[in-house]
Amino acid sequence: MAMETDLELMLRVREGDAQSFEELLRRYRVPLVSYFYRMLRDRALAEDLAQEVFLRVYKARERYQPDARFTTWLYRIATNLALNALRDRKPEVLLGEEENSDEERPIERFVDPKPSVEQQLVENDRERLVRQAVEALPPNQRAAVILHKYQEVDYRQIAGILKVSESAVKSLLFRAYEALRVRLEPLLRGGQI
Amino acid sequence: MKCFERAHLFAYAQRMLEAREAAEVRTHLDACEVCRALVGEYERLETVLDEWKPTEPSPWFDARVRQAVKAQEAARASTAWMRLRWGWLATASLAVLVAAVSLVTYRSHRISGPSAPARSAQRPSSMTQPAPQALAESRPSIVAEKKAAAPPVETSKAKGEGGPLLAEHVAVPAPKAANLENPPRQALRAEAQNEAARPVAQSLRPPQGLSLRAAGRPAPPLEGNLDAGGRAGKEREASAQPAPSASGGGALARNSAGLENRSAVQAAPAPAVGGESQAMATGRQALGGLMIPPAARKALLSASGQAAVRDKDVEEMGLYRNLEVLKDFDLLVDFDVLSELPLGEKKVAHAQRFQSLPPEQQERIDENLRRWNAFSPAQKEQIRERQEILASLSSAQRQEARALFPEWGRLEPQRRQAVLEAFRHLRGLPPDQRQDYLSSPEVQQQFSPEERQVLEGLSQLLPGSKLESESP
Repeated sequence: MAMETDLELMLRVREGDAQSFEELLRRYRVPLVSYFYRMLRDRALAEDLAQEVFLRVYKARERYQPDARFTTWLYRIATNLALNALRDRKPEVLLGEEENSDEERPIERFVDPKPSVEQQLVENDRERLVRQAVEALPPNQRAAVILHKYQEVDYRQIAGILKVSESAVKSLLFRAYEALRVRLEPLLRGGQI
Repeated sequence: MKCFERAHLFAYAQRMLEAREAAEVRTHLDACEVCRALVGEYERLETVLDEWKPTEPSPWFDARVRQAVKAQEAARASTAWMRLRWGWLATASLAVLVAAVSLVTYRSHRISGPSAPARSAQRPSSMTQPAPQALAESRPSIVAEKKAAAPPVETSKAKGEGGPLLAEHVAVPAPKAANLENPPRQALRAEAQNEAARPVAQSLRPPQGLSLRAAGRPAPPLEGNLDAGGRAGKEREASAQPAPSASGGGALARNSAGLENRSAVQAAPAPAVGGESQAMATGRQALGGLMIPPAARKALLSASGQAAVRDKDVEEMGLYRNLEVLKDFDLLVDFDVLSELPLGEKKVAHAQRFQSLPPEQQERIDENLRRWNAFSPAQKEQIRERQEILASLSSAQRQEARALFPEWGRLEPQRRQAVLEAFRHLRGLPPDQRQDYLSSPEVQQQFSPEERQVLEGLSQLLPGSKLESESP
């Protein structure tokens, strides 16, 4: 049997089908938690906000109108929540928590007797560099990059999510990628860090 | 040779260009090393960005979502039920009106001679005499009738343990009264023996006259049981138990005694209880569960210690304080999940915001977490219910309810009953007439300043009050 589309599932959720909601939960739990984590770098908060998105989807099921792609709607909710959370954050939290986060200690996290430890540490540092570069972007650019690159949302949808024009999305993405290109230059040249 | 702008090269690398434009860029790149290097960097950037791996949700994430959805469903059902019940109010009021007219007609044909005026003289209006006395005088005949049809009631025990308010309203039948009241209290007593949970168990116990309802147990069909809340009626309906009749189900008849007394005295000589009409019985049945409006019930419930404990202690967690999207109830759900998992405390201990709190606050939070973990599932359910109720009030109403509750607890049981009687009357008035009633000579004479203050506070919890209009 062909896999049902998100739209079909959502329409069934609207009719009260709990299984369809479960399927949407299964499909989008990782993307949403990852999206929030990349936007906010706070695992607990990411889960809370992802839960809030699912709850809002459920609450709005009866009003759901299939006039846009489901993912556009879903990520619009998520992006609003993420941007609000970023706005509410204090600057010192964003800047000062880097060294305190247990997730920012690759050495501790990957202490492991396996031979690949060193390589794993290096790779994790590379990942951290990427993360820091993305996190240094302004919120709208960050959202655009994460949606485009990691959530695989096309720029037309991103325009719908961010409520800007398509050309504005292209401009946002260009400026973001330029900034990333500069910040990640050591990695782009193939060098080790 | 003129190079393309970077934005155009980026668009090429991102495959945003039309075929013709892309072909032009390709031709240029063949001849321009600088532009080719730049496009190469954009393409490698894609690969580098891939190194940031996605994050897996925690194992309990799905359960949390399901729980939140379930809570949402429960809240929605409760709201729908409230609307339905208020819709019944008009019908029920009509039934009472019909009953009163029937009663007058009936009595004009059957009751004559000196006995009627004599009874009338023995039953002064509740509007001119303190309500407890009026109630005390009006009840014996009703109770006597009920005793003939229902098991006897250990009124003194009920008053002693369940609180006077409960005793007043759960008078008959006794087995039901016991079932409704004792299990939750037993649970609380057991809880109180738990050292870790003792302080909260104490605070969970409401002031005199309010009982805790055990989760999952059908709520009593009693207006006076303030714990019944909106779900009580629903559960009663769902259980398909027949509503107590005027002769067999004393609770309803008893609960509406004040109304019956007042209506009858004002409209006609006091009714002969044994000769009560079917219409009157119907009216009383219909009104039985409606005497205290949902808003007031909610407010009084939320004003119990549980809500205070949760607000004060759980909000101090401060983990998500800045997130308006997360309501208190969500936090409770979250808490529940934490409590079910041994990792709960660990998770809190690792939360960055928790770590940033002063040590003494962290210690207090740890203690609260341990208390929460010590609650039984039924108690957690009770807390969640109260939190749900609390969340439905406006913030001003919440504040009012909390301020009101200690005052309410200080009133003598009989005076509480009198205040409730007046409150019922108040509730039946349009919002713009309530203040007139509160300022009326009868209220001034009947109630002390403290009691009037409580009454005024209660009036603010009614639909249409000034406080209700403030956003929740």
